[in-house]
Amino acid sequence: MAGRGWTLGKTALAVYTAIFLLFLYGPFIVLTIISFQGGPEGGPQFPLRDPGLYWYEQLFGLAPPSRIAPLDIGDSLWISIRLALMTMVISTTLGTLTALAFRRRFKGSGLAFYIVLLGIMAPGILLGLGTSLAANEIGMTRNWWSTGLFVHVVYTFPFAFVIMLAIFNRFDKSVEEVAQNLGANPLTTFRRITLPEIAPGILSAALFGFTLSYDEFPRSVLAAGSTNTLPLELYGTFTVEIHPNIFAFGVLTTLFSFGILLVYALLLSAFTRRRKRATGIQEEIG
Amino acid sequence: MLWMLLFLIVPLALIVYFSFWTQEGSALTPDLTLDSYQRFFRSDVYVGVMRNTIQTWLIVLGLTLLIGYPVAYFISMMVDNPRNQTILLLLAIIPFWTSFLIRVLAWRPMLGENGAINIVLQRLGIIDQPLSFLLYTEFGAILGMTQIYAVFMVGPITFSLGRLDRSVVDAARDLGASPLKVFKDIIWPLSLPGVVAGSIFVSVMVLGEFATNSALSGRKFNLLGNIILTQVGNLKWAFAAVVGVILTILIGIVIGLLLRVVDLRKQL
Repeated sequence: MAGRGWTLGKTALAVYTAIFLLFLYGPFIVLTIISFQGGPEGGPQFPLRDPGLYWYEQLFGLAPPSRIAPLDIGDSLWISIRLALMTMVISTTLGTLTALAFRRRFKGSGLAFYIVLLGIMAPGILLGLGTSLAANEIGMTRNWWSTGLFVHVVYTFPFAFVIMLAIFNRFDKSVEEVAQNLGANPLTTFRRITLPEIAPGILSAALFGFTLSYDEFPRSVLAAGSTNTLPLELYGTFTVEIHPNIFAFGVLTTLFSFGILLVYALLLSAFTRRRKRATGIQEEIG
Repeated sequence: MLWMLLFLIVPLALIVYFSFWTQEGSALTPDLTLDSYQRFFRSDVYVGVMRNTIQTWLIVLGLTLLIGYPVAYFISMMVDNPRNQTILLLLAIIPFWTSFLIRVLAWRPMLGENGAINIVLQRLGIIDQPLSFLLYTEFGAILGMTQIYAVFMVGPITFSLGRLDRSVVDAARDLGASPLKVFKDIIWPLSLPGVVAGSIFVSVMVLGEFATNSALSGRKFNLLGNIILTQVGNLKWAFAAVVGVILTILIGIVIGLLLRVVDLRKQL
């Protein structure tokens, strides 16, 4: 197929794909434009009347008070960040350990694998319902740091596990064995050989853990009880009249997600550079 | 693993168990009964919601496949440079990285009576009056879901087509097969694992959907997920559990049917 040049069909499909991407991004672009709506009288739709940063200023408490109350999201933002960090640490640790156990095929590993995948596949609302029922049964109050955390880890753990499994599958065990034969103790082997090799995986698992938990909604609705994580707070504002301030916040939280992705990409490239250097040295010696 | 057993398997099992409990008002007693199931199936409203759910699922599944397949085909078969393939795929996946609710919310200024779509259509002179069926209708909810879930169709199909040996396609062409025949006899069958994987993702998510729906249909149109939420809100735990069980069975049937098309385990 290579070198046939652009046929009519190919052009049509390229245009189609561009339209598809526009379909994916269009609503968000419109939302971004309207977030610059002049305030406080401008509504959540076109036309834009003297555009400015009013709604952004309002989010940070910099705008003069007006008829429209500022979004009250500080508490839920703080809850979401703490929950995402806890979820990240727990799911990355558990995922790594479980993947480590999977390096040796054990009895029931097939079934265990399916159970892990069920964590991703089970609809969030069902998981939330089941967890809430369980909490009721043992008389536990539903809260973000208890039942909320449980369901978040159930959701992010499979991602961490699958990533780490892929890393370990690629990993050459003989390197570890050589290190140990050359007299390195297990701790040194882990620190100098295993850790640098699996670090990018751990980073990816952590990224998934944090972002998925930060944006998680359907599981939290029931499981987080009366406390509101950020997505729950946002959802609450949907039912009342919406104002461009929520659009402005949408833009900011999206930028935040991208920021995390950027940090991840930078860290990852730092890791791979270090590993390349290590391989380079190895090759020189070899 | 213990975590998964404790917080995944036990809760799901409890849904089944609680669905047989007796519910009187908001009081729940452990006398096993089929009352809640009878209440569900005797009510036209709830059976109607189940029909809505199945109908929405079929429409969104069809739309995501129809919209997503050509995109996957273009990325995997027509873009030759692997770097460009990755970039296109990443562009499609990036929205997944942002808040689900913000993406749902973003449809509001698009679809409303003063929304972007209506303004553009009016400026172009295609319509005189703003279209009112776009937002707070079933249409809005389906459009929103299609946009959000289409990427789960594009990804697996792209991977599936990427593994396809292009020399087979070239050979068939050289032997004089028409493009349609090449697609029907070679490309489509070989992309089926991706289609099935994508369909499973989309199906599970659409069947368990409630948020996109309540935000874009204005709660005029209910899915099973919405019923679970309202019932829990009214402390009708047993009835919510019944709806949960029905939803689980529905999802089980759908996955079972899809796996009959292609057994994904053999593909791994």
